[in-house]
Amino acid sequence: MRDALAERLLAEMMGWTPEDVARERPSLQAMAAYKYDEYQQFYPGMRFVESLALWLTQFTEGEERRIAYDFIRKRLVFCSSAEIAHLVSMAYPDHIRPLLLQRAAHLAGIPEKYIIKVANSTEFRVLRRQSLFLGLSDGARMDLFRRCNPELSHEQIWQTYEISPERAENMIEELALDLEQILRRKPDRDESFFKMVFLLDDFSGSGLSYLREDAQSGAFTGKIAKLFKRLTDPQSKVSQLVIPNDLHICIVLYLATDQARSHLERFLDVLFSGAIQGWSIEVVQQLTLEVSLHEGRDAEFLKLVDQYYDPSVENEHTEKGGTDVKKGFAGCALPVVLTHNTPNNSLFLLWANPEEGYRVRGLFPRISRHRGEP
Amino acid sequence: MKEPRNPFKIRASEHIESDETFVRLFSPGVLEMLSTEDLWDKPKVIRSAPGGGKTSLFRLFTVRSLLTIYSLRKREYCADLFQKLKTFGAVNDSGPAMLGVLLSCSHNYATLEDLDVDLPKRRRLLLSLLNARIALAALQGILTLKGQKYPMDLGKIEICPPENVAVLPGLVVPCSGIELYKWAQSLEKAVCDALDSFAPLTDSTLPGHDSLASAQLITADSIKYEGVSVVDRVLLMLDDLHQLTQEQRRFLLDNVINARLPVSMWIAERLEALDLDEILAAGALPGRDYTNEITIEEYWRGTRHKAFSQLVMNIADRRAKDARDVEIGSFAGCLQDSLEGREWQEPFGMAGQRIIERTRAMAKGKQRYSRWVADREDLNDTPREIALAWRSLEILIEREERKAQRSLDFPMKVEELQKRDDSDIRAAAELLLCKEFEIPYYFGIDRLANLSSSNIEQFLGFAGELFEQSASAYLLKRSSDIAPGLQEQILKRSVKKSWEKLPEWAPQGHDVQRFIKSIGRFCQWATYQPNAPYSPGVTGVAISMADRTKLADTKVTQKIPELARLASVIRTCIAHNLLEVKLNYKCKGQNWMLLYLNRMFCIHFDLPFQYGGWREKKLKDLVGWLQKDFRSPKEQLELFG
Repeated sequence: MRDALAERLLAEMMGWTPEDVARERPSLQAMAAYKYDEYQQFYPGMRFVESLALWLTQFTEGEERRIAYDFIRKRLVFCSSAEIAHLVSMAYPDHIRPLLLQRAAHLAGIPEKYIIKVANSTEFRVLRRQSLFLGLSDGARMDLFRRCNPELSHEQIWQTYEISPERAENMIEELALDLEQILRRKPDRDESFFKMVFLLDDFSGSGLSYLREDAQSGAFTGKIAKLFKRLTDPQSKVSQLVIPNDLHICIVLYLATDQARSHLERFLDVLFSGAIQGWSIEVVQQLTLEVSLHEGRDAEFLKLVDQYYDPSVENEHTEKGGTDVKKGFAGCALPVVLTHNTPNNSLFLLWANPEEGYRVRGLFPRISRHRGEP
Repeated sequence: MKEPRNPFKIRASEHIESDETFVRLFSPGVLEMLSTEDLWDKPKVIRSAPGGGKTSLFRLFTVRSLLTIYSLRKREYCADLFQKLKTFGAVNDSGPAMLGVLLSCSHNYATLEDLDVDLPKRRRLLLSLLNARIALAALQGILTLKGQKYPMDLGKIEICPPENVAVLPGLVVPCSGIELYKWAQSLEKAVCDALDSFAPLTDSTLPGHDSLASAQLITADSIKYEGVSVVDRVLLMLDDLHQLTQEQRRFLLDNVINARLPVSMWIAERLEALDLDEILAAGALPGRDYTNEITIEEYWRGTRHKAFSQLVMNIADRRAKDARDVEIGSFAGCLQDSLEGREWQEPFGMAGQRIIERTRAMAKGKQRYSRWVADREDLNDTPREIALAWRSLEILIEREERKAQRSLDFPMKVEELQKRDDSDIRAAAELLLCKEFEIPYYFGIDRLANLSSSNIEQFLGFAGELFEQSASAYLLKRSSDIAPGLQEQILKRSVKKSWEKLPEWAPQGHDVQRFIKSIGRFCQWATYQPNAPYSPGVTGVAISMADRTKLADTKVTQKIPELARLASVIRTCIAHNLLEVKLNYKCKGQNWMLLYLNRMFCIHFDLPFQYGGWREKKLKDLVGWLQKDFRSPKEQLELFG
């Protein structure tokens, strides 16, 4: 659709006068050009203003449309690919490296404040190489992470947390070779292991997909639980990568809510307690509770969220969130959109994909990872 | 490139990437200010407040722009521009006839002053960096002119200066383009290394020069391309001189002006670079050699105001035509400029009725006004004209009533009424009527042009807001004409925004805002008197030239801090075109410095746009306005019971 046509449609939807158009159009166009048009799940040819106009048609004329439009203008949080790339580039220098320096300082017996001295120490270089970086999903952008951090070896960065036995073996071999170069001697048996494992991902709304208790068995499940099982199962080749009592696992999230962080802190404590040497969580950009929608402040729009809902979206996957998905998976009530896909923790009204048969249209339709999962 | 939605929002010419867009948006009217006989002979200093159009003017004379103009010379929008440049000798029928070398002084130069070396060395470094960059820019320009690749084709250039040219260390002339390029590059690198160096600087690490000698290498006669001269003249343009330190700027101006360079030289800087004494003298002192200096806003004021209006209308049309998704042929056509339409009959009719009743009551029982009133009673015109005529009469009667010595109560002649009812009274009547009855006053292309206070960027800002409205109406398939009331509403909103932002960007922003507010409120008070004593209104204040001298004298201001503060505020106001200055204005046997409000503040304070209405003030009054807002006598009375 041509820009002008879409804008005219939007103006008609909103019942705007030329004065309203003159006021709203510059900022809408600026935001569309700056970020919104880059949403990767718009179908070919679709752009933000057209999607907005179509989205607004489902609401009744007048007040409802005004409320919906105000929500987009004032509450939407859209994370562009440039912003995600910025967060990726910050993850190592601002969050991971300081952690490595701190631990290396401890190992080398150097006060932490002597940063250059610590950074030049063999302990730091060894520990840096003994760190393994794994992506928890495509969103982790491990390719970009690798390019942003040339001081890390390609052999210690892997795009997924699922590691084949052959790959694990190869990683250990490469680690031993590199350590030999750093130490200028053959590494000891207890040195040729990864002592730090960093699990990276772009976004967490609830933390449930990483770690949760299975409702029936009561056992832990989720990505982190699965990886942890493999790392600590002596039968698994992957377990050869680490020695559990000399292992620190760090979850690095580029964007995460307070809710996700507190959930992970609670469950990781139980999962890792006594099983590994230590664990931590690093969030590059924390989304505080202020970002989520609240009954008081956002009551008007939450009424629409309640009204414009299609329960057919619910299934055994959504049940894991413990509530319906009007406010998104696990009731996170997030107004967040990521450039490559809208998280399912965001409001259903933002991501409902009409092509998947829902009677509600989302402004930024989401592509589900697999059928049956929102 | 995709056309912008609102081309009025493109301001600084640096932000226009495409040369074609730049040329399309450039109005040839701007070149009027360069139409002097000695255009190329004397160094020219062009000054303005931000947004005056200095960089755009310079960009026009660069090789890329001239090539674009030449290639588009048959197009309607470019034909005038081509012809104008042809008369200047910048282009001819076979292409650009000059080499325009543009250098901005905003890169690195000022940081040279931070080097820990003595002043003469710092000056020599400044000259050497300029020499390097002038040479590089000239070489690039020559290859662009010949459609060759830079730096690959530098071998085709030869530099053959006359034998008496100043020696440049490390360069042997005549030389090839490649040799000059390598010399200039290594020179630039050496200066930049000195800037970046943490080590102590020694004479051997400082490549200093004594003059702008590279300008002698790039003359029209010296430059040969494949053995042949390429241009008739070379123009060196130094932009953003205000970005240099005061010491560098002063040194360079003296050096350039005294050097008698063999190339034409133009320099551009913002008025903010000048100190108070200079700013109050720029382009305005009698007997000064004007030809070397142009202050852009100053140039367009006074008798050239009409030309400026035509210029901005042309600019507006060019921009409107360049917009995406909108077809608006004439921007002026979108701005309704009459209140004679049917929708205004009733408001004017009602206003007229009220005024007639008031005036009749005032004149009741007074024989001397009987003929005047009768004259108005006989009027057969539109409701607007009738209302204005009666409002003028009301003002005239009010004036008559306030006279200390009244004339005898004999009927005054209608001819006397006609004589007194001049254009100023009519203008005052219109203002007072519109204000009282909430009828739009600020609308139409002429008033929009007035509103810009001779600054093109200011014009574009307000015109852009109006264009947004027209384009929006066009989008909704409605008439893109904007009614007077809406024009006024948009302009007032836009001015309010500028007013509120003033303290954020202006140096001493709060002082500046308070000072202008006091002037504005004072003018408002003086304008809205029932007898309109300074018709059509007061829009400025004046101090005597003697006071002006006191203000610019640092010996005086050092002793009186309040005066120093005032001097500094006035300097900022003039440098940023917030106040329009006029010096040596003769009135009442004295010489005055007039300070008129920027016309956008006239909207903010509901004042007319006309010049001429001002009130004299003492320095102590103006100092007082910096401390306390102006209060009218009535407000003071209310305050102190």
